[in-house]
Amino acid sequence: MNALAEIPAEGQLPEAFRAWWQAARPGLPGHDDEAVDARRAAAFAAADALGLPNRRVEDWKFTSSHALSRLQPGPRDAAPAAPDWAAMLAGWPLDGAAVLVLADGAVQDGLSAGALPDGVTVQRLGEALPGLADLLQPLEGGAETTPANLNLALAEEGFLVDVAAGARPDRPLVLVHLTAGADGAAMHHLRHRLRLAEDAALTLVELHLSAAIAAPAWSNLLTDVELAPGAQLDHLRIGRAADGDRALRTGLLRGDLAAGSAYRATALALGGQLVRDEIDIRLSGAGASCRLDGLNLAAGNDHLDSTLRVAHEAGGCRSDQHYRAIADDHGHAVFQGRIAVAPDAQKSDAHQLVRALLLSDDAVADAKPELEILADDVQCSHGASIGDLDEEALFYLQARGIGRGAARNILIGAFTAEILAGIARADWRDAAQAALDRRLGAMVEGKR
Amino acid sequence: MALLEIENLHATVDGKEILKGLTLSVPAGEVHAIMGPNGSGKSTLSYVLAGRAGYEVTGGTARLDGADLLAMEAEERAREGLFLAFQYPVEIPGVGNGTFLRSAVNAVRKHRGEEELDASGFLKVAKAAMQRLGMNKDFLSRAVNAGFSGGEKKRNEIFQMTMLEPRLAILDETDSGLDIDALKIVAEGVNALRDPGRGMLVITHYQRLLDYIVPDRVHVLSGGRIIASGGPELAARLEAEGYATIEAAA
Repeated sequence: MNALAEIPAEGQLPEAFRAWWQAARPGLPGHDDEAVDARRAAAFAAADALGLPNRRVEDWKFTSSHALSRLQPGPRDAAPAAPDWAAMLAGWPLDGAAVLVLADGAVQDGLSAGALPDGVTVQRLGEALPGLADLLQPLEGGAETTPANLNLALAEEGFLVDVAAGARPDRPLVLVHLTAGADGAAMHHLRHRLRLAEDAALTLVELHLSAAIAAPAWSNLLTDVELAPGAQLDHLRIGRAADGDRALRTGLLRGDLAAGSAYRATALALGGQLVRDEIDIRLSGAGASCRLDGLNLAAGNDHLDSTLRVAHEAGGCRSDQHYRAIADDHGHAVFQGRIAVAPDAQKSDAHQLVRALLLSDDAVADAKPELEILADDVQCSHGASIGDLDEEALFYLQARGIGRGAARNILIGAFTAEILAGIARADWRDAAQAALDRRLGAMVEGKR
Repeated sequence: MALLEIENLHATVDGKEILKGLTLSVPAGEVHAIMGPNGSGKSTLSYVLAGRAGYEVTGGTARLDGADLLAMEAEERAREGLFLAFQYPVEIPGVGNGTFLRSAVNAVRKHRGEEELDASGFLKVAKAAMQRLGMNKDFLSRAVNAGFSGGEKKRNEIFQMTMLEPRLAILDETDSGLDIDALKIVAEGVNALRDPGRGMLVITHYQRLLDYIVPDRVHVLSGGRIIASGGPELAARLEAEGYATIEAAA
């Protein structure tokens, strides 16, 4: 087959991306399957026709994809040595959990541990034939769909998790993504899907950890979450960049929530040159609910973007978005939150609260709420505030003998407390707190 | 030298002079009241002494035990033994009362060269003080002043004062917003802290509080200066005659 004939000779993507696609295509899972390959080609064509989103694309108004467009995806001459992957896992409460590890996009069987809980099955993306083509259906829309379509074209690995009806394992499933750029590749596209059958319940933890890497490495995720009636997913995601690393992380999570199901998510982003976290939830069954909490900590030149869309398509659903950001130095935190209530989604209950704390004159926070309410019997609220530490509160603490630095730390800790408190499992709440405290400690240390 | 010595103090807020040569001394073991009409500079005096930003001292001195208060940061003044009971205690959501107060107590203890209290040691002392002030047990786990009633906030100030054992306590309109029962409890808490080694400055608009915290001396503050001083009977005279008579006589 002649791949060049299937896409226009001139597209909107950088030439290096096109070369990367040509080189990678024969090695991708399902290449021998005509339907799969056609889907991938269609996804790439869609991406190439529109190109990477620029700032004029409304959804990317506050975030530049410039760092992505400059990637040179071809294999590098000199890749850094692989780090000690196991050491990167130290300190997280993995004992007793079922752990699956991806390092630079490749499954690390040696690091994966713990038997899967009863009722939970996991397939790798390449094992999904037949049916793989269904997972690679291109997205329609404008240039904002390009990262997802690149994922669908180039998806090389991923986990397909199924939880059987009624199964409610105590042990969490932990997906670890390690990035070091040690394989010489500048981008990895991972495609995950989680399906919880009726009345199933699962705690899923996702870790995204990067080592200090000199050359940019892009990790691009596409995750589908499908909750059957009555299913419940607790989803904790923690992303932590190493000091001075140049990891780029984008992800789109699409959730489809059937009647009476519940999705509770906490996202914690501790730094990153470019982190773009999109969540797209459809409340498609009556009485479904989602709670999306997040905390972004942007110091140095970090750019952290949380873009949420929640669609109330059925009546009697509830959604809560509660995001907070702390920006220091030249850090930039972005929150975009859309709530759409369909005309017949009566008795909808939708709330959004976003707060940002600016700790330096050069730090930036953007907050863009969007409400589109087409039903009349609904309860909706939203609030946004951006500011610095409360001087009144600082003085009150100082007037009791607490030094100004310590007083600042107390108030910053209080700002984060409510989001951390939303993490249901105590061991992971403590681990998240410890990771956050280390990051905050480093920020304070840098001020001295 | 008295515990607190203020001499010819001038201070401005937003470029406007509020304190215009205030002189006052409070010896250890005494309770002094400062009374004055609205706008006379009462709250400015308390904030200037506590070291709040935005209050610029343009002249004069203020010394605590001979040390130059005005050269210290707010937290240093607190560690040296100055305590301001706020007229409007600040609400700090997300910070537990217990955590906050233990940090404060230990900052002060460390400064004094005393051993810091661990969690259980702190709890023991705090519970005893809370019982004396008629406070609920859940108080320590609640956020600092968040959602507190006016009475609870003022009681929290007195509780903090009890825990921090200051050399000089300044009570800024502690009676405002209190009903008579809350006022009595707060006054009892203050009276329990009267001590030969401690001075107190009670700032108030009304005489009512002074029925319960009987001062050794009463000063009238007007136009940024002390214009009259006397014994407790001066407070009664003010209540009967109003500020205008005394201002006219000064």
